[in-house]
Amino acid sequence: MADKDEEICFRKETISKLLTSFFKEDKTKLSSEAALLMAEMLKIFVQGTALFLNYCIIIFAIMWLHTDNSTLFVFPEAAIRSQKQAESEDCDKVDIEHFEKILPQLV
Amino acid sequence: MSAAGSRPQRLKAAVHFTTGRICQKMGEDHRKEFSRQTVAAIAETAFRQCDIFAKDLEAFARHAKRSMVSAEDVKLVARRSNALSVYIQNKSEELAQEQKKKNAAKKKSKDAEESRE
Repeated sequence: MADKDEEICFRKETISKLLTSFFKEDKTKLSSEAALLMAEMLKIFVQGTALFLNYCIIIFAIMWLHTDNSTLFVFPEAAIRSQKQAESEDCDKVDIEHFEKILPQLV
Repeated sequence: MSAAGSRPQRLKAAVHFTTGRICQKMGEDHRKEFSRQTVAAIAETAFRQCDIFAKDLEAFARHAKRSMVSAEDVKLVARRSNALSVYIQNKSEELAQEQKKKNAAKKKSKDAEESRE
């Protein structure tokens, strides 16, 4: 990635507060080195998600242009897999989380 | 109570803001524009991912019988992807070296002060 000006990154303080707020136990603390690394990791996550979305849109557009509606079969399959994921986790509601889990298998 | 209620919201806003800037920068690099809805969705995903990361980090630290989450735990979170794992490893070494330099500089200035005295 071309780095013009300054590198955009999450603030260490934000990441530290955010992760600490998600900890189950109050006594769990985050070292400053870990916070910096997590800021870096979250940045990569955001970039990856953005790129992934981009690819999805491109792939979808290409499929849409080239196929005779067979694109539509991707969706029932995704729905079935999401449901299976939900079943394997012993819950009876299909959540967006389950869809997120099977996304990598579909691409 | 109201302060406690608004804090996650503020953190979320901060994540949203930085996500927006990262997306904007990527958009410039790839000649693509990310819509406001897309940025919002990515920010929300990142926010939820933080929850997962935090729970993992806490579990790893507890497994090592520590209450402080360290860089080693972050390396464990990154273990699934080879590229990411290498990247985090390098970053961690970089940070360690920076810290070493800082400490050395501090020591030097301290020594200088002491000798002056």
